[in-house]
Amino acid sequence: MKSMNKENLAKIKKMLTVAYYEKETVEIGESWKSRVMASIQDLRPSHQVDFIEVFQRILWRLVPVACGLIILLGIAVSQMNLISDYELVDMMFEDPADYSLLALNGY
Amino acid sequence: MQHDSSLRPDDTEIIHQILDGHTDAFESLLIRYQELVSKIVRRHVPHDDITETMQDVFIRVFQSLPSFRAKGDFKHWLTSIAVRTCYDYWRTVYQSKETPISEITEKHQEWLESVIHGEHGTLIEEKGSCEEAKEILDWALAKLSAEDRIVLELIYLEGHTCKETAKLLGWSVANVKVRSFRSRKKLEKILSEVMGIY
Repeated sequence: MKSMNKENLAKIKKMLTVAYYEKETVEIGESWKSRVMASIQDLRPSHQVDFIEVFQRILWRLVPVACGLIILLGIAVSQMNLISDYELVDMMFEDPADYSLLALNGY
Repeated sequence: MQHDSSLRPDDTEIIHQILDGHTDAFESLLIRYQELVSKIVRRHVPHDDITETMQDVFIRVFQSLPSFRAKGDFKHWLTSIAVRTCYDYWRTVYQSKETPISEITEKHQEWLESVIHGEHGTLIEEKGSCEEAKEILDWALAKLSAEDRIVLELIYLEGHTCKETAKLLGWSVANVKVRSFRSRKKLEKILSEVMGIY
């Protein structure tokens, strides 16, 4: 099959390149911008979940809060009148009659 | 250095704001780069689909922002996304087999002959002549695959190097070289057929 020579192809290429760049411009109006922004608002950036990043960003920020909570809980527990198992056994040995009354009441 | 100056400091700042959840800040990027995106998209996509494709580009940019490296060139990154979106546009069109192939008439053949014989040498800007050139170009490109089309547009018509094209499309340089050679040969064959050269 015969094909066009290089010179002719170069001429055609020149014309096609001009035509390629001679494209009509489009008017980008406010409505288009609003439409794009509305679509963007419906989306959220698809963050890839990186455990280390999450740990650094969030978990470390929670450390002071956690420490504060531990201290508060410690104070609260010390203020409460809780009876431990050790204290219950101690009470039984010291006053068996009182313990049997507690046992009868379901304690 | 071009590499550093192309990334204006506010781009990085805006990107950080967007990633921190201030999606409204994206409007600044939209305003700043809509002209660039429009310029790229209108070369590759038919007039009626330009605004929709531009919207796809910006949505893709927004979704891909977390993967953008702050030290990189944002303009180049955006250009690459725009080109790939145009390529995807043609892939979808070819898959749906909705490619409009206009008819080539005697008028077009005569035009090609007049170009070869130098009649249009000084009339490149001539309006009618350009319309015929556009129709022939659209017709010829519609006969190529989406891959051949994008490579031909970037290398043959826009004058990008194989390396630049490979970077824009995310393909290997060897793939682009082979594609470029084959697509150019295909275009030459198509044009030869129009001219009736067998």
